[in-house]
Amino acid sequence: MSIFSPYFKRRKDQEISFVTIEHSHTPWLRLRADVNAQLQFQDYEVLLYEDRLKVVDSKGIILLNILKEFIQDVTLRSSVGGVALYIRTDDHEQEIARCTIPYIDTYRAAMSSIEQWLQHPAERDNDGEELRAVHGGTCSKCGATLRPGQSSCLKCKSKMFQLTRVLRYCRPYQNQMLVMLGILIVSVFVDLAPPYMTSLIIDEVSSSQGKAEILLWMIVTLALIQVASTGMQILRGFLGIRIGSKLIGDIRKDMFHSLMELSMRFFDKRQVSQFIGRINHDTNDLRDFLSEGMIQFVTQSLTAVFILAMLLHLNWQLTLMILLPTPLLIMGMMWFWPKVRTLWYAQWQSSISIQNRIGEALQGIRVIKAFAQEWNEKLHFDKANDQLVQRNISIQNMWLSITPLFSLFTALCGVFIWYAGGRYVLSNQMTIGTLSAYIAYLSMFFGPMKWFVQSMSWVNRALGASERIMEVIEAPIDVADGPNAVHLPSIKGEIRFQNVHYGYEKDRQVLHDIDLTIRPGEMIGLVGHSGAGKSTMVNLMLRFYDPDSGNIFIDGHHLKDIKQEDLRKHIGVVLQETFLFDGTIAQNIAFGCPDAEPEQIIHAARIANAHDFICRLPDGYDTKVGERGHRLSGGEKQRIAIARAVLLNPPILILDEATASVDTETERQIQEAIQRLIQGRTTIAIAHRLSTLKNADRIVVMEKGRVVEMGTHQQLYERRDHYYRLVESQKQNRDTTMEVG
Amino acid sequence: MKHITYMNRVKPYLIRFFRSKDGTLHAEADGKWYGPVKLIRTFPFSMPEQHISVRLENGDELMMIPHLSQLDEGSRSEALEELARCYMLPSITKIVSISRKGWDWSWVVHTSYGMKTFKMDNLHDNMYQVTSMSWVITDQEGRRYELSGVEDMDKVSQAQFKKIK
Repeated sequence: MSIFSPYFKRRKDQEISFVTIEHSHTPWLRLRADVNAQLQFQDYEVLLYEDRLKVVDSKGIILLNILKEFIQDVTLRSSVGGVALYIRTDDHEQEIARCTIPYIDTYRAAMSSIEQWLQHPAERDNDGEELRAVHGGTCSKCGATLRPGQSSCLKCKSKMFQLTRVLRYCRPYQNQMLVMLGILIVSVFVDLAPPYMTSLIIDEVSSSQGKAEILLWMIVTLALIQVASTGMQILRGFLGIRIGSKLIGDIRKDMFHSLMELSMRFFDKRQVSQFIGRINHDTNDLRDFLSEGMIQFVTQSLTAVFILAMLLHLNWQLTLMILLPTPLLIMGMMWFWPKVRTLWYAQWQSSISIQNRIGEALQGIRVIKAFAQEWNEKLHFDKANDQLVQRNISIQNMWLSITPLFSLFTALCGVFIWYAGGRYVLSNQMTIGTLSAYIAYLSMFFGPMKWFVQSMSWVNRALGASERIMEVIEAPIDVADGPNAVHLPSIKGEIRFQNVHYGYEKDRQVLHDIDLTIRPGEMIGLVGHSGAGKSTMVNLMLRFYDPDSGNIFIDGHHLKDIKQEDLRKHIGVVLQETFLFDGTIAQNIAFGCPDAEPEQIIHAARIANAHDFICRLPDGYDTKVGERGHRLSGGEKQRIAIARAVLLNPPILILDEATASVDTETERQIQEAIQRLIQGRTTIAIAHRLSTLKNADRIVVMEKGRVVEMGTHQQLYERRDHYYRLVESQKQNRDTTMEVG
Repeated sequence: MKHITYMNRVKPYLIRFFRSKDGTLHAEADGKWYGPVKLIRTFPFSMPEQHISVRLENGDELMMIPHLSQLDEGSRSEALEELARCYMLPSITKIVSISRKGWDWSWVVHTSYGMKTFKMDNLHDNMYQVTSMSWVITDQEGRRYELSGVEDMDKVSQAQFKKIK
């Protein structure tokens, strides 16, 4: 099947006729593609040789063979969900390859080499190199693309990996757990004794030669066994609670620590409200499994084994008859297992969905009320709630049908034993005491069996929880520190962007080929329309994300080679939306420097023009700001953010629309504070109000992710191009506003 | 809603699409020729053939087409072909199986791009509900698939989907 679309067909014949020169050398570049021109999944390759380009399918059949001299141009076109590679020959454009998201980076990385190849017939030393996703390697076992920060494929690690990873949490408590295990083994023996003692008592009492003295000793022994059993039960409970509580604390701690370490990309793709519940519920489920579940498993298994031995000892023929349906039971459990797993997962998803719904509604309660959308939120919630109710009913229904079936099975076994055992007693092959002990042991044997069936539910829940916990704890960090990352105690503040490309989504680039060097102490104004890529540049500088290609350096150090903690200590940020934590004003100012002295906090507040308004508050610096600082105005919050940056005293300062949402007088005060703040620091200021950037050493104008102009306000204004238009349109807006006002 | 003024509501039948010699899409509207032009779905999942924004190469909007059915047959077919190339989002037409294999969810599906087997780490992060009955599914490698109209699919697909939703 041809991979080319119909309207390219007539050209294809001509292209095949281009094949006139024999060539034996290997391709210098191989690019995989996975979608053909008819938009169907198909694996094939684009091979680039010194003198030609070939497209070859997975069976090695050549689909296209064209000499380089006929190719005028090569372009890569982005689509939603992929890219397509086009060549231009004889003023005709032709699609030669199309691929989905996993290959996009590879194609982008290859483009400059392909363009060079077209222009210069230079020798290459990377013969046959296959470009893979530039951001990561591949797993040697399954071939899956590894994510940044992943040293090996999590899925291909030992099947026991997940279990051993979870069991690692038990290691600090192994001694206590061993004591518990010892108690357990003794308990199992102790718990097995009463039925046996009872059978001896019955036989003693029913015997014509029975003695009261022996009976008394038997009764005393039985009583002592009961006391010992209770004592061990108390001790087990005490140890269980102690170990369980500590375990849950450790897991919760690790989960939260991991969340703090994870990159922004992880949170961009998820609703964060879910993690509140996940940290609580999932860890609880796992705690139950690790502390109670494992102990129960050992107990029940030991009990089952010992009782089985006892049953075989009492009457092996009867016991073998009872064991006959056991394989059926095991098969039933295996059939049931995946269903239970899926049901529990679905139930968990519903409960997370409710949690997200509540979290979002409460976070946006002001907007909901302002738009009178309470009814709509109730409707959405009711829908999610109904789904959870339905799933709960499904799970409960399933258990309701299983439990009576199991009870019926055990009851039938009991009836059978009464009949078969009774016949043994009648034929004097068994005493009445032995039969009653046998029946008591049999009912005890069904205890562990019943437990194993019921445990399917919570073992599944616990396994699901452990998977989700590990999903967070083991999540690859997209922007991990490089292997040679160093501490950087101080910096001068030079920032260099070198051919930086970036997109939040692989199929939509936001920054294209950014080349920019900012000198230490320089103030740069970043301007441009919304969506031009200004804030993205700041995000990359802070290393919230890594560029798709290109590099960023601070004082000549690649960002990956600087410990992130150090990097961010050297960069102060004042954003348009200031986030204040639910604490006092002083705590919020000292957020980056928790050890700051009160004098330093006050000094920072003075520089930020915040001191006066703080003094007017009845509780001064001890004023509680409320969740996200809702008790303060926008301007007040902004000045606290500036004070925060002042206290941090960073060599690099980023001001992202720091005065965008305040009135003119507040803006004046904030500007005044900013002017004091930027002295002697490398400053990058993003502002829509261009008047605030007039004093910048250089203004960088961005448009659609590219730097289109650079210079001082005067130079750019006189150039009468992009910047001039921005200034003029702002002037017009202001005039219009004035007229309206 | 009388106070809302719709911009660029040119009569839709006044626009015609055609391919130039080099294979790129061009447009003719109100007697003027534009090209090359780009087509953008403003509601790619909920209304893929409605509210199509026609843009010039510099990104300026030429007009908004309320529904592709209002175009002449030739233009509609060119527009659909262009959109198919601009939106590489295979839609799932049949679900053969959804199963849990170890840590992964494995899907075997028929899509508008042919049959595909893909894996997902989990469902909760990789199935995004767009409307009440449509989802965007992201596989382990980042490819996205559209899943909608399960209620109109065959019984096997419905049963498979019911296992997870």
